Amino acid sequence: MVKYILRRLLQAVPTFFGITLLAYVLMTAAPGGPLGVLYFSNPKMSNSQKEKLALQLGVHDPVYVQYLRWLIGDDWMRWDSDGDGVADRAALSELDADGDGVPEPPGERRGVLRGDFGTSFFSKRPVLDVISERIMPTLELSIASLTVGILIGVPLGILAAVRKGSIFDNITRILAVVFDAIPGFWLALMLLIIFAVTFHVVPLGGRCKTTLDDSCPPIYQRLEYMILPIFVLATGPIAGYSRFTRASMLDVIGQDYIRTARAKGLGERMVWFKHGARNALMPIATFLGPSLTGLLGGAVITETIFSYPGLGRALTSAATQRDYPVVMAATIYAAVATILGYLISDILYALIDPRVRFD
Amino acid sequence: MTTDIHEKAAIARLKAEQEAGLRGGESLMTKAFRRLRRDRLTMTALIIMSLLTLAAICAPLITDLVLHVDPNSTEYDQLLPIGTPGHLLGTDDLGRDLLARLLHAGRISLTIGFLGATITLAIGLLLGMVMGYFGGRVDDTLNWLITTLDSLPTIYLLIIVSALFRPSPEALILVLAFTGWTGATRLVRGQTISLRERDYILSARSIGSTSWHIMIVHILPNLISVTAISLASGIGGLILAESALSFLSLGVQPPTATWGNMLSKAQNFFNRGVHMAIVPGVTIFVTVLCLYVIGDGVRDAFDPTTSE
Repeated sequence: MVKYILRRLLQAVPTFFGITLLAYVLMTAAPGGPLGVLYFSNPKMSNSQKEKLALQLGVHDPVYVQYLRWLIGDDWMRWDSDGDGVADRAALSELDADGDGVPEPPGERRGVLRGDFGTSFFSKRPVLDVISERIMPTLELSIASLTVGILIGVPLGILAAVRKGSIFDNITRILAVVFDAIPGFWLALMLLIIFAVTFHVVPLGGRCKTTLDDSCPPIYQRLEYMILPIFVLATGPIAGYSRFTRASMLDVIGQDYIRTARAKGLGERMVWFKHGARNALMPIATFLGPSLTGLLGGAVITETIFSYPGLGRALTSAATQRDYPVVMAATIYAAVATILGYLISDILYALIDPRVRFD
Repeated sequence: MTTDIHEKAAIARLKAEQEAGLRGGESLMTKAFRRLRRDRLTMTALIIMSLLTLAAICAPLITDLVLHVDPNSTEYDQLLPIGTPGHLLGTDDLGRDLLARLLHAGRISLTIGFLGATITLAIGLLLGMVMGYFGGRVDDTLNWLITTLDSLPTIYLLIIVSALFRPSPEALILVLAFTGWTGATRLVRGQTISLRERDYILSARSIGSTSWHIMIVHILPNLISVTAISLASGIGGLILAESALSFLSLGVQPPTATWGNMLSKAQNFFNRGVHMAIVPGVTIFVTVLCLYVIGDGVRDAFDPTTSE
């Protein structure tokens, strides 16, 4: 088992590097690049200041050095061994990269792998701080929606399978397609119009009542803020889980051991719920990873509409402002969350299904 | 003389057999189309979709000759409700006729969905076939790329690419295809792997056919139906993605109308103009629902295990 988990972890490494590479390539290929944004945000910048900034960002180095600097930092690329404040040793990078005869200052970045995502172009705060405070709200929203999705979707799927062909079964199937086809953002708008604008039963958005220190009470004390975003986000998992459970139940119920259970005189309830549901629910563990990706994606739009201070809204606003460091950090965080989601669902599945072999 | 009789009898039997065979063993296509024609829900969705497409194609004619309005002509501070004479579906905050904009927006939204899904399928067919047929290092590398892209929510990629590169509507089609090709590729790859081991592929290889010849002549035709079936739902998915992106003001930029960007300002006019949010939203919903229903119906019709 430990071996299996280790191997799965190793498989995640190339994917993670793929993501860092993708994020980096997209940023550097964008018109203007990071320098363009910084010049634009401060039009009064003199040429020498511009040159200093370019140096800080290391644009004179070859692209792979720039990528490495971003990924693993540059404090080991140029460093000061005698403590006079001037770099005197260099690896990969040159001591005097811009060729003005003066050695560059020692590197200070620790790199993404060591948690240094740089400084936000706009708030001028460390990106890690900006992103970290957005993680909890998004996690809270995603986990709540996933829980609601499973709690509603799975029983719906079981009931639909038990009453296959009934009106109930058909209604759940139609509803699943309908909710698949509704644009999530439009559903959110409609709910806001009905419940916030017309009936004033919920606030128009936000995570909780505005406080001075940006703190929020526990989730059950601010349900009025959470109910609409959770509902919008949960429609996907509800539709997905109900259809998946239904198919899985119908698959299991055709198996020989179910016939055996019936043959030995067990009641229908016992057959469906003890022998059927228990086995049918196993594959649902594999659904966890994909539904997490779906939730993170859905959160982008939902958070924007409900002005909810999460990772998704941080991404949209950073992307429109071209705040490159924040965009890259948000991307990497979302990817890590997804990779972990897939990892957990694989391990869960291996744990509960004895047929999965670990070699 | 006797041989003649025997011959005639043999020919007659053969003919009878052929006719019986034709009737009993209809091709999958004929069966599928018959099933499809009987499926009322799918047929209704097809009709609605055709009407919507027709309306979008004829949009300039309809707005010029029937409605007599320009989709981009503005009037100062007007937000007329549904049913106003001259503006059947009302106007938006800039006094632009919603029905006219809806029709013109349909041209963009449907084109993006259709072309995007077609390009996605083309990429999927090419890469999936290459991956499945050659395997080995090509397969590993592309698999890595697919896992990497799939470990990010699609909307993240879409937002980043369109915020940084500000694509034109034409480029947006490519962006959507670039983020959506992984699913189709995985589907085609799996199919190709199962086809690769068939005897007729082996015999083609043994008479010296090149790999590309085998892929194009022997494998591709077997993949077309599998992938074409996913076209309808693919279009639906892309229309949803485009509308979400344009809603965030990151997709097609105004004044060019799309169903998504018609909604982007709706949130500011909840009190005065609810119809601004309802009209484009219902259109997107109906379109995508029809496409999904068509997708499901076509898949069921082409499924050889479906009983009549």
